[in-house]
Amino acid sequence: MAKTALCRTEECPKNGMKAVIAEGGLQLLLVSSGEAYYGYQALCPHMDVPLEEGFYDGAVLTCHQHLWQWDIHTGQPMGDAEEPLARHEVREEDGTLYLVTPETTP
Amino acid sequence: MKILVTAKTQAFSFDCEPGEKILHAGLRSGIALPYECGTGTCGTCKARLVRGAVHEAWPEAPARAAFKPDSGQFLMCQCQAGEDCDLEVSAVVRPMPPETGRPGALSARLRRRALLTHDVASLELELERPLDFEAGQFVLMTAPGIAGARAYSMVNFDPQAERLVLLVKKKPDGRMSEWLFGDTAPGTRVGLFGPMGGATFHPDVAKNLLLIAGGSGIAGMMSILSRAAQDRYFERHSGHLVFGVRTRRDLFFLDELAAFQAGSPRLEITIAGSDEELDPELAARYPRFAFAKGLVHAVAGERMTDRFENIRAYAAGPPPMVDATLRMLVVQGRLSRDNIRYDKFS
Repeated sequence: MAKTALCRTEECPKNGMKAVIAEGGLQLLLVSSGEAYYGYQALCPHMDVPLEEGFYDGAVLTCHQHLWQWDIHTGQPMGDAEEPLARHEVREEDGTLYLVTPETTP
Repeated sequence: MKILVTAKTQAFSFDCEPGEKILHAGLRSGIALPYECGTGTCGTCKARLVRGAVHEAWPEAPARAAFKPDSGQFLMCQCQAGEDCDLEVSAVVRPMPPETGRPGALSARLRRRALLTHDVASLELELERPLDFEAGQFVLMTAPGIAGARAYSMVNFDPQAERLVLLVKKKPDGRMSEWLFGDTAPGTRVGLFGPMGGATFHPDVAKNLLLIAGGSGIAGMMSILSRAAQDRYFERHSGHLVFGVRTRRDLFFLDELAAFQAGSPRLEITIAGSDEELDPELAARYPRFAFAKGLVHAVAGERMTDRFENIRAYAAGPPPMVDATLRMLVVQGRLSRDNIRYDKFS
C-alpha cells in the first residue's frame, strides 16, 4: 500500500469539497461528509465538467451542467445520472488527507 | 448518405442529405440525439467518428476547444456528412415518443420587427407551413450572408402556428443581431430549424409553476404563460414568474404580463432589478406586481421560501444567471432534476 499526501485536512471544508491534483497528475475531488472523507474523479463522467463547480449538501453531489447527481457515500448515480463516479481511497491521518493506492508488486 | 449512430444502449441509422447537419438529420428522423444549444457552444452533441468523413462547418466552434486532437470527436450540430458515416455517442439515446412533433427545416419571411428596449427586439416571422411546438421551445435561425445559426425562443404559443414571435438580444459584434437591428427589409427570407429544446411546459404536468427569467430569457416564459392561459391552468395551480433585469430601461412586456395576470388570479409576478430600485411609478402602474432589488435567483429564492412543495421550475437567461438559479433550485428548493427545466444557450 502506498500513501500520497494530498492536502491538509482543513483545506477540505466540513461537508464540503475540494479538487486536488495528486502526484502523477491524477485529478481528484475530495469530499467531506460528517466524519468521513471520500475521493472521487474530479470531472463529471457525462461531459468532463469539473464537479467542484457543482452543488454539494453534505450527502448528494450535483453537477451544475446537466444536474446529474450521486450519493456521496457510494458514488452511485441518482435520478438522471447514467454512470457512477470512480472512487479513490482516501485516508485522514494527523491533519493530512492521503491518497491510498495498492502497492504495485515488482 | 447513411449515418449509423451507436449510442450507449442502442444503435440507430438514418439518412442525411448533402449539406444537412448530422444532428438535424437525426432529429428529423425521430431520434432524440443529445443536444442543448444547437449552435456549437455547449458541446452536448459531441460524437466520435468511427468510419467515414464529416465536414466541419465551423472549425472554431467554442465547444470544440475541449476536444483532444485526433480523438475523432466532432459536434453533430456543426458537421455535415461527406459520405456514409459510423458514429459513437456516449449517451443514452432513445427514439422520440410518437406524439412529439418532429423538428425539421422550414423557411420563413420576416414580417415585423419591434424594438422593445435599447437592446431587445421582437421579430415576427411568417412560416411557409404551419408548425407545432411546445411552450418553451426554440428555433435555430439562419440568415442570408451570415455564417452559422442562432437560437431564438418562441414568445407565442399557437397550435399549428403560422407565425412565430421571437426575441432577439443585441450582442456587441454579433453579426446576426446587427443585421436584425439594422434596416433589414420586411419580407426577407430566413431559414429555420425546429422546434428544439426540452424546457417545455404541458398542462399535464399539473404542478405549481415557478418561472425564473433573466432579460430576454422571458421569451420562453411568455410562451408558457400563453399555453397556461389557454388552458386556464392557473385556476387549478398557482404560478410565480420572477423576471430579472438590470435597470428600469431593460424592462419590457409589462403590459403583456399584466394582461396574463388579469385573467389568472393565482399568478404572482415579481420584477427584480439587480442594479437599481425600480421606479415607484411602476408599482403604481402595475399594482399587482411585486418589485424587489437583487439578482433574480436570489429574489426568487427569498420569495419562494417554504413554498417549493409540488413545484415545477423553469429557468432561462444568460448562462451565469441560469447556473445561479439551478444552484438555488437544487440546494435551497431541493427540487428533483425532473422538476427543473432549462436550456442553456447564450
